[in-house]
Amino acid sequence: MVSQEFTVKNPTGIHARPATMLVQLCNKLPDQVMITTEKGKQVNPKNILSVLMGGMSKGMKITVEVNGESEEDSLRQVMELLESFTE
Amino acid sequence: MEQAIHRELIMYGVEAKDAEDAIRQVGQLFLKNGYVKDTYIDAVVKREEVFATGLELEGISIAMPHTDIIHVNKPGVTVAKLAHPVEFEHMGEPGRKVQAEMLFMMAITNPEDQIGTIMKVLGVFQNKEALDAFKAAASEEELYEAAAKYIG
Repeated sequence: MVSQEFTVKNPTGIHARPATMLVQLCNKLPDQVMITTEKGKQVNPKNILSVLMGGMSKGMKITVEVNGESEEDSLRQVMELLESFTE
Repeated sequence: MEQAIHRELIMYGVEAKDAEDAIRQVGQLFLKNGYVKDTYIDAVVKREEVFATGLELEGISIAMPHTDIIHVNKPGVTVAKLAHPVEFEHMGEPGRKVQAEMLFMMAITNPEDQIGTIMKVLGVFQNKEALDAFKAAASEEELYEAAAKYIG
């Protein structure tokens, strides 16, 4: 298992469009991905409703955990996507 | 967050033939009440094609169309109940269709409010009593009462 922390930077947070992109990426990954927010909420990033209800707004610290055979690569892809959100 | 529900943004029994028609009709509520610029509706239609906003919740399917803040004058959210469900694509899952019964179209001016509005609407439908009230609403007035009571 590998994990990395991230602070949400984009103004809208992980809402509709960024949430969609996150869910689409995670569903392509062969590994198990889990996000825990600083409020202790568990978010399944392969499920859009779970992501939306995670309330991941700007400034929130989240931890991304990946478990699986290509976990290093999967984590890198998730982090790159999170970093790319600007809207 | 500011008050989300405004009486003039309630619409009951919208006869729409498809998702675009529903967006165009419900978007008129924003337009005629000055919430959005005249570019808003086209922008929402375009965005919906690329980033769908249909959501299948427990007991009800909805859609939350929206677009960028440059098309918006002041914030609001519509509460529109369709006469018949229309097909939207599911948010986050291309190819998955949902039969949306209600449109919560959003006019957003502060991007940081957006996630709060989405969570508020989704949160409402996790409440069985609220879900039943929206399902049972059979007039614009009843829809407004449910929205004011449960969304605020």
